[in-house]
Amino acid sequence: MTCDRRLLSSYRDAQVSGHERYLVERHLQECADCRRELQGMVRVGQAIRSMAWEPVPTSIGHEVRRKIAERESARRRPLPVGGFARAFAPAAAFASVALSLVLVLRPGVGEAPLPLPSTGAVTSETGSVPADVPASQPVASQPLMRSPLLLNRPRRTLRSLSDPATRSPTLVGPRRHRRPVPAYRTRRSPRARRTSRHSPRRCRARTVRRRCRDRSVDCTTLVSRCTISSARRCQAAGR
Amino acid sequence: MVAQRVEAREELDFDEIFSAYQERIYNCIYRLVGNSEEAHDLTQETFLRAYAGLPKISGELKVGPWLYRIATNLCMDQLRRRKLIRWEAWDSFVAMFHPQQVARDNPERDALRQESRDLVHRVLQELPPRYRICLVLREYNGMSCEEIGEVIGSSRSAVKSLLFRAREEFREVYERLGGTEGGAEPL
Repeated sequence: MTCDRRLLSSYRDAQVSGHERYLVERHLQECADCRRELQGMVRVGQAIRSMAWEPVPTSIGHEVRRKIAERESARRRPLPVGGFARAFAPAAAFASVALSLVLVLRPGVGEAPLPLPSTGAVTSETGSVPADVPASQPVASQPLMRSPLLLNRPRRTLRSLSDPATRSPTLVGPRRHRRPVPAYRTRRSPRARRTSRHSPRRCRARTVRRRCRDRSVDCTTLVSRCTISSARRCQAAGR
Repeated sequence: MVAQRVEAREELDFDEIFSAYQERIYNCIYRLVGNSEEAHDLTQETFLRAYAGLPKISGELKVGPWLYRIATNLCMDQLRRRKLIRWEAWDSFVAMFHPQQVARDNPERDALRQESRDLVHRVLQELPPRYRICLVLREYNGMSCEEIGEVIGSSRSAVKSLLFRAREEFREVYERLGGTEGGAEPL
């Protein structure tokens, strides 16, 4: 057998077969170099094992147990408000973007800045314009001459434009037409008008509903502290 | 004892595993990363990960190699990160003023022994991480080649080859750092 340092290393780790072991041990009896080599390998192990075992800091155990307890309590806790908010954060962000888009693109916001009402140019809030406005005037500078529907709109723009402090410089772009709301959608029935102010559904948000305190009367009517619906308090209790 | 109970497929408590392995894991990590602060943090992280993974382990898994595997992976990550910033060993500086260094029976012999240990520690830190892991697991923690293979994810023959090269490298670095002179014995 020739000198084989790899085999010596395996012999040192007891990773050789019986036959290999026999060959190595026989070779070691003859070869001084391999004996020295093996001795070196043993010393490497001794040197590494000579390093003392460091005592484990007790804080490791405390920290590990504390963190595990924290995790466990966090796992058992029902969905926290923070987690709930985090879960719905993307939806909320999307909703805010959508709302801002709606606000920016809604009819009338992108309109062009209107000129300040000059003396006698605009005679009333209806936006009627005198006939002496030249036809060559730019469309953006012609105040409210588009549609009769627009003439009936509240005069927010004209009123704000009359005050330079409140005038917005960003109102540019073509004016959009707003579709008129049909009458059947705005009209309310006399019954609805009568009951809407006192309807329990309306009051629920800001009232504390409780049962009638007067036990002498067989009363199951819910009474309310709402100032609006105070007239509808329990009649059986005589309040 | 824990290993026997695992073989017997008994239910194991995390506290038992922690008590049985904390010293071995801490010292292994300490020898791999070379300083106690990092060893402290990495030991904590090892056991926290083990706790998180405990319900997922199958009955055939050996707890010891599994823990060492978590620890060595964390150490490898740490050593890779450390390549960017080189830290000086704080422990060797602190050790000079430690009360243990004072009032010994045989100060000269103790000093030589301490010098030899420091040299071995420095040599280990000079080795490539894979060699270091193999040597520490084999010589310091007394693991077999099969177990080391399970830890580092290699075959038995690959571990044998790694150990051979690691020993060669160790002796070379040891001699380069002055292991044949002074108090340390030649290898």
